[in-house]
Order: sequence, then structure tokens, then C-alpha cells
Amino acid sequence: MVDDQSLEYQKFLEIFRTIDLGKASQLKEFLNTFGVNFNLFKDGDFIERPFPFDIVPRIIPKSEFDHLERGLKQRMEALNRFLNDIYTDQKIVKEGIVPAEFVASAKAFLPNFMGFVPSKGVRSHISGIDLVKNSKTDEWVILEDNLRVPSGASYPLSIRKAFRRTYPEFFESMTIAKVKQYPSYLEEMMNYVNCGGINVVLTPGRFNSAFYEHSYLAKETGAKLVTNEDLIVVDDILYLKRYDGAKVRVGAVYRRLDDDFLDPQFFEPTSLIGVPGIINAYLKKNVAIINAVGNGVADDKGIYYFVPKMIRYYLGEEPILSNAPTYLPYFEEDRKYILDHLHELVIKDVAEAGGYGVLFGSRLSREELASIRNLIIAEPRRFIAQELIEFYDIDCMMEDGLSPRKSDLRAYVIYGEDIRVWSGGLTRYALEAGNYLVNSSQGGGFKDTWVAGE
Amino acid sequence: MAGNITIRAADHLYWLGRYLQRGETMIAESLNAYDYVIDRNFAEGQELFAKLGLSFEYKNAKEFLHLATYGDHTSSISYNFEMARENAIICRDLIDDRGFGFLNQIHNTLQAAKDKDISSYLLEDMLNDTQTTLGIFFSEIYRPEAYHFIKFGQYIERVDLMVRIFDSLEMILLDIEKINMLGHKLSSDFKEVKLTFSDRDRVSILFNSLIKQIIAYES
Repeated sequence: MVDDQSLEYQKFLEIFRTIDLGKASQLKEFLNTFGVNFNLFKDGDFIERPFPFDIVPRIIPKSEFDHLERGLKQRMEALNRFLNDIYTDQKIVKEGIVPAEFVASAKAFLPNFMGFVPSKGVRSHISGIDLVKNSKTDEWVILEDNLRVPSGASYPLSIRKAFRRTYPEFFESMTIAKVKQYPSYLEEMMNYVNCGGINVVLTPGRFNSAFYEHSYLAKETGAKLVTNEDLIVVDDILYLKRYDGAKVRVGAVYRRLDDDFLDPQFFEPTSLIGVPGIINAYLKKNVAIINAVGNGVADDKGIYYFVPKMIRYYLGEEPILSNAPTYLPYFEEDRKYILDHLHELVIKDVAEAGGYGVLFGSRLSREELASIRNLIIAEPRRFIAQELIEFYDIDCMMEDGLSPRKSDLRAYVIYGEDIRVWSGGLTRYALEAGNYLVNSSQGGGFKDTWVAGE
Repeated sequence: MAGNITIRAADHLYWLGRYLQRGETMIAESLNAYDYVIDRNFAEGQELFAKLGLSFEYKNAKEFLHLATYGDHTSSISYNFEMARENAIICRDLIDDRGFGFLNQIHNTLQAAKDKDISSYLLEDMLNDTQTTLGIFFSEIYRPEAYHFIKFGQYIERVDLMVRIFDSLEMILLDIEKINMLGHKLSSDFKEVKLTFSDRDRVSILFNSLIKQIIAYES
């Protein structure tokens, strides 16, 4: 079912029927010319490719987005408090809201960071929250929180610039929220948490799938794009090595690599992309790291189950946005339900991301169901199960005209001096009809997201 | 200095300038030689390759042009634009988007034409695009350090090519002035190049080492 009832979408369609669709090739040309790539590694080969793009945007009426904005701010406030609590007093554990085992066994929980509070107490500086709109209830549902290194914002930002110029008629006739403020939100946040010095974007390098985004965001925020070889730590202070031999102090690092690879002296000793000593500089509060180290405990798929409880616990409010109905095999009652309904649930491995480790019970053979059943019984903490949400399809422009595809929305929340929700977002869609996996790393495409209306 | 360009980025900007210049020269010289080869003056093309330290046989003009464009050697047009693009990708946060777009388009065109007979008109277009790319980088009113590195690389490559292809010291005198000017902009310790005819045999070595006066590779 396509979510096409809003007045704003109807207005879009009205204009869409009048435009010269031949000009859409200019947009694909734009992506090719400017190398707006989301690269893939396939069978060990690096494949440089433009991120597949569909010209039909997702349109969210302003009133609907206002609701989303309130819910996302509430959720990020709670998650940031959870992170500060879990790395200090762990009151939420002591009061029995979140079981201690769930925190202790979360792969991304870092006990070495207990007691450390990062600059200004902000941990989830940039969050990418994945949502879908349930076609049965007409409500937005949160599928996943990404508080480590969420990517994707640069793609709708880049295409918006080209789209406006190609099809100005939409922007002349409709009220569409601007998106270009995203880099300034980022820059202001970086300046807010900066511990003294310049801002940098730390990239793993040119062969990272999202390298385009790293360079784009560095350019747009005025931060320097660096790799580990551009940085050095001396006496627990991080410096950029300038070409003339001078060392320039770095006060904030927007890192685009996971904790494990950040510092070979502290984490994975074989990391070739980390900066030796950066964690000591961080622990001495000489540099801010964005997002904070150890955030993964909050976007663990098992911890996700507890986010509504966190909102009630920390904020004393009812959650504005719901989770997808989720069951934890860890709890006996849930486990029984899961094992009885395996064939109709979605099973997720909590250690996986990017659409990997997701199994649709309805598509598994009898043998596969038996195998996953045994795994759940043996390792209950490793899995979660969710009801399959029949989320809305979205119109996509295919060769034979508009055609429905599954899609989600990644909304971006910037947490600095205050919490800001970007009035845009990355809409990802499955290239094949009926496919529920929309992740970029699974070959999905992207659309712009328009917040439209007064 | 406001730029805070890293050692790595400075090196990539420098090499972007060099590969762009080499790519431009290789297109121009290949098209020039192509006209001679069409008249079955095969030696002209072979002389060009020989000046670049290469030795190739070809049966006709089309084969010559294909070798010059896609041959498996570091002077091929395709190789030089691929390297220019790689350097540009790595430091694209420091360069103009339109300039990057033109360069990327040249690369895309070369890749798309790889399995076809390369057209001299296509190469003419690429020559125009290369000159536009260089023009974009240098026509801006605001000229940050990044562009000085590209320009420095471009002039070093011009000197290198002029000595190798035209064997002329006179032709490079103006470029030396520019190199000295850019060297001073990028480093207050830059030692000016003063060339005499006795330097003829070591011109390439001399100019290729100048960047080490500017970029502190060892720090």
C-alpha cells in the first residue's frame, strides 16, 4: 500500500504529471559527474558506483514531521541520559529497569570508560534514527537507533541542490522545508563540544564506502578532512600535522570509523586506520570525539527493547514514538512466544548491522527454522524477534512508470547546545518489488525527503 | 596560516597539478603526432614515445592513438587522468566542485570509450575540459593555498615535460619565475631556483626535488 493520501503528496503528483521527465537524466548525470558515490565491496573487489537515486521524493507533511521531531528529540534526550548513566552510576540497572546482563553483555559496552564524562556531557552528537510508517496504524515506528557512525545525510543534501535547479516548479508552488542548514548544525555542535583547537573529520580513507560523504561534510562544515597519518598525539594532546611541519591543535574529531579501530594502543592493535594515543587525549578531555566512544551500547538491538522504558524512567513521559513490537528470548515468556511464532516473526542478530543478520521467519525452510530455534535457545541474548510490520510502500519512478517499493526513513538528530532534528532525511528504498531490506549496503537506493506544507 | 593543509593533502594537491598538466600535454602532443602518423610518418609518433622513454610499434594511426590513450604505460592519457582523479578525490574537500566535476567527467568519458576506437574529436573535447579544469582552479578571486599547490605541481610538470619533449631551457624561463613566486608563497624558507646552461643535465632532478623544500614529509 502506498502512502499517497496527504494533500502535499497530491500537490506533488499534480506538478509531477506536468514536468519533463526527460530532464531527470540531468540528475543522474549530476551524480555521475560529481562522483556522488556510495561504494561497495563485493567479492573482495572495490566497486565505485553512484548511489542509485529515485526522483520521486518522500513527502512528509509538516504537521506529521512536527510530531516526529518531538518524538525524536525525546528519544535522543533519553538515550543520551542512558549513556551518561550507564557509564557512571548505572541507576537504571540498579533500579531494575534494564537488566545488568544486557549492559554487560552488549558487545559495544566499554567498561574501561566507566566514570568518564565527555565534553559538555554530550555523547550522541549525531544520531541516525531509522523509521517506517505502519500502514495498518498510520503511525511512524522506530526500527533502529544508530548512535555510532550513522551515514547518509550528504546524499539528499547533494541531490537537493541539483533537483531544485532541474525542477524549480515544485519549489515555487509548494512550501518545502530547506535542508541546507545541516552542515551548520554540525559545525555549531562541533564548536560547542570542542576542547580547544580546530575541528577535523577523521576518515578511514578513500576506499571507505562513504568517503564521498566524509569529504562533503568536511568541506561544508569547514573541518579538515584527515586520515590517521595526518594526526599525532604528543603529551596527550592531538595535533594535525601541517605541510610545513607545524603542529596544529585539534579540539574535536568527527570520526567516521568504529571504536574498535580508533586507537591501536587502546582497542584493536592491528588497526591501520586508528590514531595511537587518541583515547588518552580523549580521557584527559583534551579532545572531543564525535560520537562518543562506547555509544554502541545504546544502539545495541537488545537495548533497543528498553528505550521506551528509558523515556519513562529518565523523562517521566510516555514515548511519543513507538518501537516495533519486539520480543527478547532472554525473557522466558518472550522466548516461548518467539519459538511458537518463529515462522511469522523477523529475527535479528544483535551483533549485525546494515541489513545483515536479518531473517524473515516466513521465508525460512523447516530446516532453517529448526536451526535458528536451536540457536535462540543456546544464545538467547544474541537475538531479538520483531513482528513483521507492514509498512507503507513509496512510489518510485521505474522504467514502466510509478511503482511501489518498500522504503524507510533515516532521520538525523544533532545534539549540541540543544537538540535539533534536521528537517529532511535519507529515504532508502529497495530496488526490487517486495524486498523489505532497503539498506545501502544491501544495494538499496535513495530518495530525497521533503517536509512539505505550512 | 589559515589553510592548515596536511602533509598528505599538500602532496595530493601537488600531484593533482602534475598529472593534470601531463594529461593535457599528452593529449595535445598525441593529437599533433596523430596527424603525422595519418600521413604514414610513423616516426613522429615513435619519437614522441621515445622522448618519454617508451618504445612502441603500431600498424596504423588508429592504433597509435589507442596506444597513446590507453597503452599500458605511465605516459598514457588514460593513466594520467586516472591518477589526477585519484589525487583529486582524496583532496576534493579542498578544491572547487566544478573543477572536480570536469575532471571526473574526463575520466568517465575515457572509461566509457575504452573498448571503442578513440576519436580524435573526443580527445579535443577532453583537452578543452582539461584546460577548463585548470582554468577553474586558477580563476577564482579567492585563492587559497590549495590552489598554489596545484599550480606549483603544474609548473614543475611543465618544466619537466619541456625539457624531456622539447629539450629546451629557454622555454622554461618564465615558468621558473612562477615556480619561485609560488615557492615563496608556500614557504618562507623556499630557496629560489637560478638556472644556468650548465644545469641542463640535471634540470629534472633539480625541479622534481623542489617540493621537498615546501612539504615537510619527514615530520
